Amino acid sequence: MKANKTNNSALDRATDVLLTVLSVSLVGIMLVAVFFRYALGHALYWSDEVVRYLFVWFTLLGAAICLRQREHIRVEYFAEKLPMRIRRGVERALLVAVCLFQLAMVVLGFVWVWSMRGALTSALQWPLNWFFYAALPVSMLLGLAYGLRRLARGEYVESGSAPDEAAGSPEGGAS
Amino acid sequence: MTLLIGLMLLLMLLGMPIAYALGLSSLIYVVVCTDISPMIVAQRICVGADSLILLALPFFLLAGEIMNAAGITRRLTRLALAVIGPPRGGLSYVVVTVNVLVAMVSGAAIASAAAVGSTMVPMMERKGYPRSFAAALNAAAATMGPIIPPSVGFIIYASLSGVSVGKLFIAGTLPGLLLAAGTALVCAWAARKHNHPAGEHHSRRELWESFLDAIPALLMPVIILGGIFGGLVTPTEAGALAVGYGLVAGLVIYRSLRWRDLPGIFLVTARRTASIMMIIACASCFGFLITHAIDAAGFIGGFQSLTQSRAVLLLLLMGLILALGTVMEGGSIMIILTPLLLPVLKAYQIDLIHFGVIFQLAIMIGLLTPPVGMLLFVMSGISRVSVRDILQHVWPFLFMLCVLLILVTYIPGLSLWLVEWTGTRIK
Repeated sequence: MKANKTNNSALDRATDVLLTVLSVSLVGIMLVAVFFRYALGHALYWSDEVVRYLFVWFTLLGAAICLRQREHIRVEYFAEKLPMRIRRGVERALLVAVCLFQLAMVVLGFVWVWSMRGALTSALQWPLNWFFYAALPVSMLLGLAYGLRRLARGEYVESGSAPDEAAGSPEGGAS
Repeated sequence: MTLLIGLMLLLMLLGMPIAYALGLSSLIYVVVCTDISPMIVAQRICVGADSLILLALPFFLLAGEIMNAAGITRRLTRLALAVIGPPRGGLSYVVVTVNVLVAMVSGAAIASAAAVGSTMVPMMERKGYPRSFAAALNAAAATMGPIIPPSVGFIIYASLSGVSVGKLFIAGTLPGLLLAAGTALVCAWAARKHNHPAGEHHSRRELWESFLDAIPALLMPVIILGGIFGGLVTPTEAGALAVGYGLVAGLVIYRSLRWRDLPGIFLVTARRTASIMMIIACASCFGFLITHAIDAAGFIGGFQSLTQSRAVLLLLLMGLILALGTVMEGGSIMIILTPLLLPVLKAYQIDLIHFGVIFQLAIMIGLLTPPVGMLLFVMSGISRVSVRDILQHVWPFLFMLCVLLILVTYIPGLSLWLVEWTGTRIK
């Protein structure tokens, strides 16, 4: 079950660093924005926009990483009742389905990004399609890669109940 | 419509991650049953993740995580030990007090249960409490976390229902404190019945020292709640301030947090947030298709043919949430159910803030009920007591929670008085 922890690839490290940096920037930009608004008395015109779009990237990239870590929130109750052989078959089919969904999102997402070329963000006037919409197909591409890697390695069964880090159960989710 | 919901439920119950079950069933529905461009799924997922309100989620989860890593939880425990002192069952009141204090910073039940429980369960066992009672109490007391503001559940509910996060936070305050009082009452009852040991007497000096040591920790809830309730900052900004202050307290004031721990804390919390946020993003696509497909009048009519009475409807909804809570994780229930229920709630003129508190409380009960009760699992892991043994001691707390749920449901004032009283000040 821990095979994916022992052979972390450069891609894994890079995406981990990226997600950490995104997370730190969200806090940092928000704090700077609060400081400007309340201490210096004038609001930054760009902070809300940047934070919102970074948060979208954060969510979608994070979801791809959760697929690698097998940390997505799910209902395990019934899967656990199945005999292991059938369960592996079901989990493999589900993972294939997730990969197909991500493939569709990559294609549809890039078509969408292409069709929205030229649109600009309202505050910074940056290209809206790359700064915002591209988060979906890019992240789904990463998720697809991780999904296929899990299929190739035979890691079908979501671990879930066995948290690999100190921060409590990944199933803890929104509660 | 049937395909959409049926496929989603099937995939989810088979064990597909909930986010992808929502996304995939939406995509298949759009392709098979409608002539909308499938690009709508990509668009809706992106737009669903784009929310300044939901940005409060990673912030409050981070603040709670930093609070635990920086030993702030430990200092609050020391203070509570010194304050409570000698009465019979003293340590169980300490657990209640610490959970109230932690709840004012952390918005999630599971993480705080793990942090408080891992110190309190062994301590209670050393003093002669049955380990299974200690585990049950810690599991039950952790349900305060998401009722007392700030609360991850309220943030999610606010983003789905359009209600103000600040007002929901205020609405949760009184029920949260009642929950604390109720938990303490059950402790008093259990202490008498099972003859629990008395607490230790602490010197005045220890009281004073632990208070001084805890001042920077106590400032954390003051900043968060003062900022929100004083109308100074939005809940999202308060979350960022809490993270910033927690880092200063941990790195500079207490020097208990090391710089090299930080990337790990940020990364793990980021993954946890992302797994919740992905469900919300995909649920926003799913919800959009449902509202598009559903015959709203007929859906509401279905409820109205069941009952005309608001009280009975609330009872039905409570039963539904509690039933789902036995097999599903709480946040997911909220994310999937809220968009479906909104039109019904409006038709019956149920206050959305009031319902938010009911919803959150019912979900907390779900965390304590088998077969899927996350708090039971977490406490079972920490205390090495089987879920079955914890259950033996958890039922008085569950009974108390159900009474409180009924009170909160049928006395809307418990949630709404404070909201009316604070009026329009909240951002």
